[in-house]
Amino acid sequence: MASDYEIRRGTDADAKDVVRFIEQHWSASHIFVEEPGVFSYQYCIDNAFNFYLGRNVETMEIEGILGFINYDPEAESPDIFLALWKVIRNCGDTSLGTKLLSCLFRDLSPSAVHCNGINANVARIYEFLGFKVGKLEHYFYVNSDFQEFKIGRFSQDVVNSCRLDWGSETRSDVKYLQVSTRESLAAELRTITAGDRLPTKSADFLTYRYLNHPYYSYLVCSLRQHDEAVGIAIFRKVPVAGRCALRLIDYIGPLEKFSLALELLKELVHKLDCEYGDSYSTGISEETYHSCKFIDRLSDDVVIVPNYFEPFEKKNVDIFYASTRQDVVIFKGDGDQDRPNKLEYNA
Amino acid sequence: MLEKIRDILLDVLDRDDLDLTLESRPDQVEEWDSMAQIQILVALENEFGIKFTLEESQGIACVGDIVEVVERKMG
Repeated sequence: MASDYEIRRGTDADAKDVVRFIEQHWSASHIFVEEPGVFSYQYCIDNAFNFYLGRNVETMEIEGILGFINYDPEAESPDIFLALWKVIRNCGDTSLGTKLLSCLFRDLSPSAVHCNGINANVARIYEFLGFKVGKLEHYFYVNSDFQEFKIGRFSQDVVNSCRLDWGSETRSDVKYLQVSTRESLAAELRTITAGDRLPTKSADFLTYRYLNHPYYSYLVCSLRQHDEAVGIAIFRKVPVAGRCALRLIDYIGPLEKFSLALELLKELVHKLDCEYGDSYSTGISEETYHSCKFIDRLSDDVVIVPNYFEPFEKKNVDIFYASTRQDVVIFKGDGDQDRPNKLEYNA
Repeated sequence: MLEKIRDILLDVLDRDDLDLTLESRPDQVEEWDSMAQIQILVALENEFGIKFTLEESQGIACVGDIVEVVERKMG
């Protein structure tokens, strides 16, 4: 017989069962199993537990979960990123997974739903549900001050092309201001015209996500032009084997100002003595990257720009996404793509 | 119609030894999980040029439900 399920938004009381579900049906070594603090930070926020779950009413065992990240819990129709969607293989209802999603749509009335970092199997489900499915583009800029590279791998042509660019342009009308408090972040955001293709993130969310992250140190910079904030760029310096890479994690602001974030990334790569800087995104034009002399990772067979650092894996990684929006702009930091995987690498 | 739908089911489930009837349910076939269900629906959409709604997909509990929805959508 097919089974009946209790499908609902979870509460704090369900947290232990959800972690056990992840342990049994995903991975016993998942960081959410090994580090309860990381799980709590990601999903237990302001007395809200950001999971939908389906319990078999006969056994009361959880047989399906759907985790999510709400970019603005105060909004009537927030942007939602899904993270951790899993139904057990022998579940008694082949529609349990989509019913969890229906529940989320009904309760949260999201303006858009996205997922960053999907695998090929789940991509088929998203396509069936009418989501746009695609791959993030990956661009980078190499610090040509280095003679040899330990983190990335670059051809000499690539290194030379970056050498030609550095210092060729300086703009006196552009300044950068590091932001470290919620108040200063909110003040900067007041003059920024948010790009309407970017998911809307509240000041509270950005504070929680980047300024107060318990494990990662993010560099949050206001991009200022003519003494007025025009965008926010978020970076993270990643150390490996005595070297560092600098990653553009997120951007808030109009797309026509995104090039300022790329210019700052290049500047910081040199100032912070990083091997290179990189940026994963979709919805940003190739011309924008090329005009800032960033290089498409796929343009050269030799190039390796790693994405996994905990533990470090010297290989290229494609990141696929899904979105109910056809023209969405997504960055590496969206969803749960930039979270710790093993805390020992962040000691 | 039933014959065509049965062929698609057997093909997606990669089983040619199943005796599927209108009453056959996913929980009776090990390979018929949530992923297979989506693959079945996508294959039916491609074969018959139809599009299932989310509600229709969630209302399918047996082969007979699939046949009923496809026949209704085919007019």
